[in-house]
Amino acid sequence: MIASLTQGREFRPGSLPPAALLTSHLARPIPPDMTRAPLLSATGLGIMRGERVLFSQLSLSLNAGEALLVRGDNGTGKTTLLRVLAGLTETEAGTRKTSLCHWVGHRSGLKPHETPRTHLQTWARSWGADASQIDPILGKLALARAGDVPASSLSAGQRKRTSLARTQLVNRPVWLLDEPFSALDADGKAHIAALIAAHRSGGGAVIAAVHGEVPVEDTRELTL
Amino acid sequence: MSAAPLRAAFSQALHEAWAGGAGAVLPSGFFAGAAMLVPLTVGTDTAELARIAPAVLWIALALSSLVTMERLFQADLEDGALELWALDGAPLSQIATAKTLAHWLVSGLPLMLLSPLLGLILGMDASDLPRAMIAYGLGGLAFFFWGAFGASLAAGVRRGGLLIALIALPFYVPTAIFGALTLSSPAAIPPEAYFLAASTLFAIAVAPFGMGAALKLAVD
Repeated sequence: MIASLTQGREFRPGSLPPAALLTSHLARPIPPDMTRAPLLSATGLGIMRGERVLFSQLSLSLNAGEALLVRGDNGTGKTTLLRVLAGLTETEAGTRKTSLCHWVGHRSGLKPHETPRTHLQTWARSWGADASQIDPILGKLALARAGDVPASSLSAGQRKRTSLARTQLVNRPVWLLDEPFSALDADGKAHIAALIAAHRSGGGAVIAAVHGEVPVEDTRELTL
Repeated sequence: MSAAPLRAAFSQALHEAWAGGAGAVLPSGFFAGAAMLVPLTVGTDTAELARIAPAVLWIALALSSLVTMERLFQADLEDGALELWALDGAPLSQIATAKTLAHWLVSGLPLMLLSPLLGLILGMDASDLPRAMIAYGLGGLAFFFWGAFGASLAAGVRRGGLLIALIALPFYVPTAIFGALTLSSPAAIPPEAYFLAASTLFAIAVAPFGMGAALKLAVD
């Protein structure tokens, strides 16, 4: 099971992708039926912000059970790459193909008067998920006590947990997480790490933009 | 495609508008305030006031429909909810329609219900008030859809309230003209009333596509 990444800095249409090629082998055994098609693949992505090239000729693919950490300094395009993969932002070049994904962006998606409970109810309704699982989900993310507090009174970490709790409502193979561990305490990081591990062992894949040390094991990395 | 995302968007918008508090009060207060300035400026001729009252209410209605429009989509853009709606379920044009209807229910319907009272204060004939209320209701719905279209285009603009007015007001023109003609006609249901209704239907049919395209750009 080999996954490859290529990435270049210059945006010259038609030029060959530069040589930075990353390969990794997964140590963990993956059930055979998970190894067929990649859950997410992108080829030749290039994107500009104004006159600036954020990245070009970027290709990646992600198989079941894998986690890809996107690293890079502020402003190098981590968020933009995730938004492109999610389908929120149009690219200047390249194509992407992905299974259904969960998007947990930098902005939580909570309305000021929504509580974690009503937020999950809204999305459970929209996605046709079973609303009776909301209480267990709140418990799993240590949000039971904050469950009925409006978002304007929640801490940044609690809002983050709530937006990550959306991933538990319906099962989608690919998770695209922008800074999932920011604003979280040690306890919160452990909760999120457990969710990610459970998702991967269930045959899902995760791409996360991160800074510094993160409690996710057995990952591939992409530095922008 | 199921209607579940639309219902979810509608109830989320409704809940947020009610919980926000100012949703119904602010436009209604503006509507009443703008209409009540007119007697003070026109003078003491009550017959003159009664004659211009329907037109005054149309202008006040058009302006008060814009009062809370700025945050309709901008808030969603800022808190990330728009990203989620863009990724999931129904097309953005339909989500925008659901949100606009919820907004109208909280902010627009009270204006319609308030209009007979203001008409009475301005000296309109009491027998005219019911059909005037229906006309203001129809016209207000068109105003809210065009206003929401303006709001979707200005979603990414800080303090875009004035921009929304500049975009939306030209679209108000047909509704305002047929609305005014409807109320100045002595017939119970004059032909102009059908044109007023048609302008509202046109707004409901066309504005959502503009909103969908504008919001897609705003998310990008």
